[in-house]
Amino acid sequence: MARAEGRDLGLIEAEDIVTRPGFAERHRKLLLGCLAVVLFFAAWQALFLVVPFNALFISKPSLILGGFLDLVATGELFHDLAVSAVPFVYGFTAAAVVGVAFGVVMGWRARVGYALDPLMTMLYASPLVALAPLVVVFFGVGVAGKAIIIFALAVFPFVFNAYAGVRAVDPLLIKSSARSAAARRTFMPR
Amino acid sequence: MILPSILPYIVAGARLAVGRALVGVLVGEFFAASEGIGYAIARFGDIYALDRMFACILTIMMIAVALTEAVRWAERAAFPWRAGQ
Repeated sequence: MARAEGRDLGLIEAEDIVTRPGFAERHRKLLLGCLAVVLFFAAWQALFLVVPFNALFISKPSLILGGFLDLVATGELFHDLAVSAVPFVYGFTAAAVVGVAFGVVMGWRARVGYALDPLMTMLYASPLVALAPLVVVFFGVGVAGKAIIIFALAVFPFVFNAYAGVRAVDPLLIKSSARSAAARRTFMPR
Repeated sequence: MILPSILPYIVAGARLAVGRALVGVLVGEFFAASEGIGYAIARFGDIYALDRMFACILTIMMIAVALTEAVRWAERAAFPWRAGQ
């Protein structure tokens, strides 16, 4: 009786309140990840309390932080990153375009796929970084050589994934579109 | 019809390709460069300024993590039902 009166007066019972999980609970993935990284650096720094520190062999996080702040202050770090970003962008976008095109052709025409698959696998598995000096000899010291190396390394995930993607398209979808008189050309763009 | 349906696969491929492309950046610059972050790592290593060398290495690692997370976030935003690892 008294509880019913309480409800009528608009009082909230304890059981009515649903609490939201706390901050730590909601972000626990991010917090645990950061904790692991912080512990790693702390262990690295603490290692030199027991192990003698030789500046010629390794460095510790406190010194690394000092070096990092120096590099940021002189602007050297941003300049170097900007210079490196140019061939990265060129190589990566070229790899995306060419890789997807190759993968789609391989998936679209089964025979092309069968023919090129071993070749692509062979090139993907081999350490193309070993050819980097050769590329530099041919293409010179500049954006071209680096963009080509980046292209060669980045193209294969796109090829294989696009190939798998095209093969995974439900054949029923293709057949039903063909039946509904869609022209061959309208398959690709839309 | 084909292109939208293979987009999740392409984005997953982009996630893999980002890591490999960063390796390409560093390797290319170890051998022949006069500027750039890979050259900075090699130069600091040669003059034994190991604190700056590690600073550059850790910066590249952070960038790799940031780019991979950005692609993963885009994958989740565009295809929430397909986000893989």
